[in-house]
Amino acid sequence: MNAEDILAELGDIYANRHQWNRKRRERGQRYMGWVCTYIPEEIIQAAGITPVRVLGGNDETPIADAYLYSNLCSFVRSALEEAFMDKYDYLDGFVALNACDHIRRLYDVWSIYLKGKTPFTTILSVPGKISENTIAVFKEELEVFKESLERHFEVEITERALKEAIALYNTTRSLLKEIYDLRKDPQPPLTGTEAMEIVLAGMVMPKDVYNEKLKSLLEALKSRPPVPNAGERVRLLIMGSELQEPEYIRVIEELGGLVVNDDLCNGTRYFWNLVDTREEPLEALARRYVTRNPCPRMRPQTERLTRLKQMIKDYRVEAVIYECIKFCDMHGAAYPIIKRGLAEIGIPVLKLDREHLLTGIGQVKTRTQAFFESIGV
Amino acid sequence: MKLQEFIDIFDERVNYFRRFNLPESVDIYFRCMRNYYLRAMTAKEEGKPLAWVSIMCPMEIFHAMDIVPFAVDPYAISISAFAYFKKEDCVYFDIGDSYGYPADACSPHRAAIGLAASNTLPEPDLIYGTASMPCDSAVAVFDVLSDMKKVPTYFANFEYRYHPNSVQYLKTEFQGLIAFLEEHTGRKMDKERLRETLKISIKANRAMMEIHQLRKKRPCPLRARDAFNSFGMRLAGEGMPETLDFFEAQLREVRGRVERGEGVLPEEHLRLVASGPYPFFAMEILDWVQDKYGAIFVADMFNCAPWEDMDENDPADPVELLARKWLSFFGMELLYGPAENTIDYLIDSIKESQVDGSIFFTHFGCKQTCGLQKIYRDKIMEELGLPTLFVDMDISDPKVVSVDQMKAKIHEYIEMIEKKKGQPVAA
Repeated sequence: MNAEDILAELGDIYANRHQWNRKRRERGQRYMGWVCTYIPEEIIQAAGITPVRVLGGNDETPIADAYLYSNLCSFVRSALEEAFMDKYDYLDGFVALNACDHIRRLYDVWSIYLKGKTPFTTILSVPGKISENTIAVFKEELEVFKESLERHFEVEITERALKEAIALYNTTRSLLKEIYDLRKDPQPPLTGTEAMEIVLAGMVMPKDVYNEKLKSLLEALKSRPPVPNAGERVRLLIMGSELQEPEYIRVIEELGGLVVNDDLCNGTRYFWNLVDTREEPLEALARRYVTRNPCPRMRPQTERLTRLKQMIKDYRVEAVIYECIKFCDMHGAAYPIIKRGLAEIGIPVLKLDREHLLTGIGQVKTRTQAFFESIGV
Repeated sequence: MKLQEFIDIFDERVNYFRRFNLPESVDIYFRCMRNYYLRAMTAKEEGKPLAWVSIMCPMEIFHAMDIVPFAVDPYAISISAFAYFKKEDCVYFDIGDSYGYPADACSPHRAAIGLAASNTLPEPDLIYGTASMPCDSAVAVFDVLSDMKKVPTYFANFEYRYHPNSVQYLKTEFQGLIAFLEEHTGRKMDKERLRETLKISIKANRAMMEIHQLRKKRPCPLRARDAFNSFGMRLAGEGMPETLDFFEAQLREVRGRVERGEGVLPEEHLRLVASGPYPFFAMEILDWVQDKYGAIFVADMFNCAPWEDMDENDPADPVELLARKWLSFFGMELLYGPAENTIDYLIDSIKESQVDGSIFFTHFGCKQTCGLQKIYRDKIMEELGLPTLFVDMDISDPKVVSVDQMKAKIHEYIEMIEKKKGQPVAA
């Protein structure tokens, strides 16, 4: 298969993810929804349950709006709407974490009002700081999580199963990293839009199936011609709040940009760092998730800035698009730090406020065009 | 506004209130708050390091090391309240916004950034923030302040949910803080001094808990504004002897009223519970509700959250005691933890207060309290049969919703519950 066919297949699975997973559910496969990339999917996988990311939908959110006030971000309201509309009726459970105020309240509403629809709900306490003390306490939390899965689903999560799950997920991460590495090339074979489509598909389907497709895709991409006019386009890194809409990136790329890397939870923050297979599994998972490429919920921000600067250098990034979903205090507040830090290395930043749905895309075009003009594209 | 102006205002208030022979606790309160600001202003000249701190701060550690803690965001609230009182515009919101802090974040944090960016505050030697709670904006603001001021910063991570080893975990976080303070100030922690400071805060806590239990009595022996002073006192002076003086004085007053069967209102018509944060810039609303309708807030979300009593003579390591103290604070779970663990407690506490009405102040910048609205409203209706009024507002920015608009909504609600009770409605 060529790259276009594989990309189309992945896009199709993502677009029809609920139907695709429902069919597998009918054949006996169990599913667990997770909502933030700080949740170690490996433990769910080791319980014989397929983890899928809970994402938003494409519609307005009249039901969720009655449960969550309008200052809760439109992503969590959309995810909740999907749940109320039975789009996640194939889930055997839902796991959240204290990622941010919005996700905490999403969990509260989901666990109280959708108890009948989702048999198992839990929320993890994930530290907001990178340190040995927080890694140790997170390991304890993972033990509690593991035991709760074992109890509810009447399964034993063995060390061997954990190690196999870690190996499976590390393969996914390595393959995605290899695909991303192709984008270091001045003439990369894929766009930022396509890269996001690839990552999103992996969040909603079983990793063994996904890995096979990634292997084929990687081979196909190696012989794929470069993106048209790649050398003439401004090399961008996109970062910010939860963004699950490749169309958003497409709009930016159609204006003369080429997104060559990202700092997104539906991008590098999901897969960039491997789990150390030499350590005891829960210890290794705790360490990997606390020390992975951080989002602004993690302190200190200096760590994030250091890694970001390295990524910008490695991928020859010329400018940054900072997208921020409305009411997201974490990403919103981190902006002045990122802007100042990147100014030190001469990287201009465009901040764009957005909603979950692609409303206001005209503004994105206008502001991006003006930004490109200001940096001489 | 510089701190000196602020201290002058407190001096004026102390002198003004003394003319009216107000309760001793009120006098101590204003003195304590004045001294708190004075300590921050004079720290440098007294050779003491100044730390900008989060409201989730183990103040006892700082006091025991002669480091002056200064909570920046509550100060921003006070500044905006005084601007409103003087009919002036609080410019610090806009300065914070223009610095890049999100305009839809919690307004005191926007103002705190504005105050810091305009160099209006005494400059910090250190910053202490939290890595996880009480909310996103209250955490993130210290990241931005740290980046702006380029001073050593320590973040303590509090857990969302507790484990058997949580005390040891939090103790290690606090030990990390002590090591950080020792490294950056050259001062050494004196554990016996810490123990003494902690003893004071345990005793003050015990008095406060009794006060808020007595507040549930009918008639209510404590005005809502005076009840709220507990919150300010603990933020400003946890572990300070004068804070204990305040709580002991307030307890004597409240006990006396209860023993005499006196309420603080001439006639108590209605008892209310307040949830969400109050409109701090216009606390006059609490007086207005009392004076106009004989309605009193007998419970509020902040003070429903107890700290467990502890033995001040417990010989355990004081840092461990401090960790135990913080983990005993139900407010951490209430604001930050899972609602399913806390909402029932809150409702039980409200039941004990025998309320006739429920008012939820919806602070637009506060995602986490707003996110509880539906759960809270449904529970209150289910368990107490009471409708909840939601009052949209901002805790410190009067431009979002005016005081008159808030009053109009409250009037309609009180009219409704008075009719329900068959009482005459105030004009």
